[in-house]
Amino acid sequence: MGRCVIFTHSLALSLAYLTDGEEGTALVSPLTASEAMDPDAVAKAFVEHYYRTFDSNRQALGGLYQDGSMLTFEGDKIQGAAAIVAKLTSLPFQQCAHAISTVDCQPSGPPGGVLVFVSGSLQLGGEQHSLKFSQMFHLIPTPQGSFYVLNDIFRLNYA
Amino acid sequence: MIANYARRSQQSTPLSASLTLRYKLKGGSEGTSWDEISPSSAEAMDPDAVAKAFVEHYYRTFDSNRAALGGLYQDASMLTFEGDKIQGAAAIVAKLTSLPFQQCAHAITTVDCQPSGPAGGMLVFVSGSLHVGGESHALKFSQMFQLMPTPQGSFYVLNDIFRLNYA
Repeated sequence: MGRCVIFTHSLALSLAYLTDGEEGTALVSPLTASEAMDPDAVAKAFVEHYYRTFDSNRQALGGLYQDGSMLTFEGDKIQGAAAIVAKLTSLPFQQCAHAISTVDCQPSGPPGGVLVFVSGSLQLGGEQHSLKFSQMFHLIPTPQGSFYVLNDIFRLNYA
Repeated sequence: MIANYARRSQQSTPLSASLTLRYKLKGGSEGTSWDEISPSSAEAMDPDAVAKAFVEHYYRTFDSNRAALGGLYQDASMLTFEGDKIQGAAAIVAKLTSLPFQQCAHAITTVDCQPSGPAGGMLVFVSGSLHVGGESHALKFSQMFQLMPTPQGSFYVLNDIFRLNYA
């Protein structure tokens, strides 16, 4: 049986991978093969998925990190999916909404990693003014044909 | 910490000291690892020290002699500058030296770094402000680099992404 991992987002591109347990990872039904191989498409799909999950259910972000993952959040260094989720779910706000201004990406080297550089604004529930932020991710492919976040660095951009 | 970075950028650091990374790649049946070979072992092993030394060197070179940045990139290096994608040291230097200002001064506010994986790379995430000669207001920017080790024990920039942070 195949397992489908889908990043969906409103911009139009979806990345659909099916894994075949016996033969390993196989790209079975991408919307188009070129989109699935394209770092820009990967980056956009990831960014949409990440911030939608952050804004609706921060706890669920754990699935995007592994034990070796690193987060530097406003200078605080955290390692491992469990500690990262603990940090993100303990941030001092209940509600938030990210609005993304720019997404840049580049391939990061032979293992097929993707660097994603995001800037945008963050509206916290109850606050009048939104905060500007920049964030970078280093995405590493998994054997199942998806990506996980190895590196994550977040900084607010003060005026 | 912010004040420290501003002060350091005004000191003249000898070129030999600013980017000297005293690592040797040690290979064997167990794979490769980084083995420090210099007596100043504490700084050489510390990714934060490497990142700070690189940032200081990069922006000091940018502000004084942009053409000299070419030595920090290689053929595979990639720069995305305000959305423009450029590849290779020559094209990158051409882009940076053609930016529409003669004089500039970077002031660094934050530097964060993390190791980027088994290849021994390092991610450096910088925010700061950029004063362009003749302009009254400074521009805010964010920039990220991925530094990869060279066989000679130094680093080069494989990935470089620059964005201005508009208010």
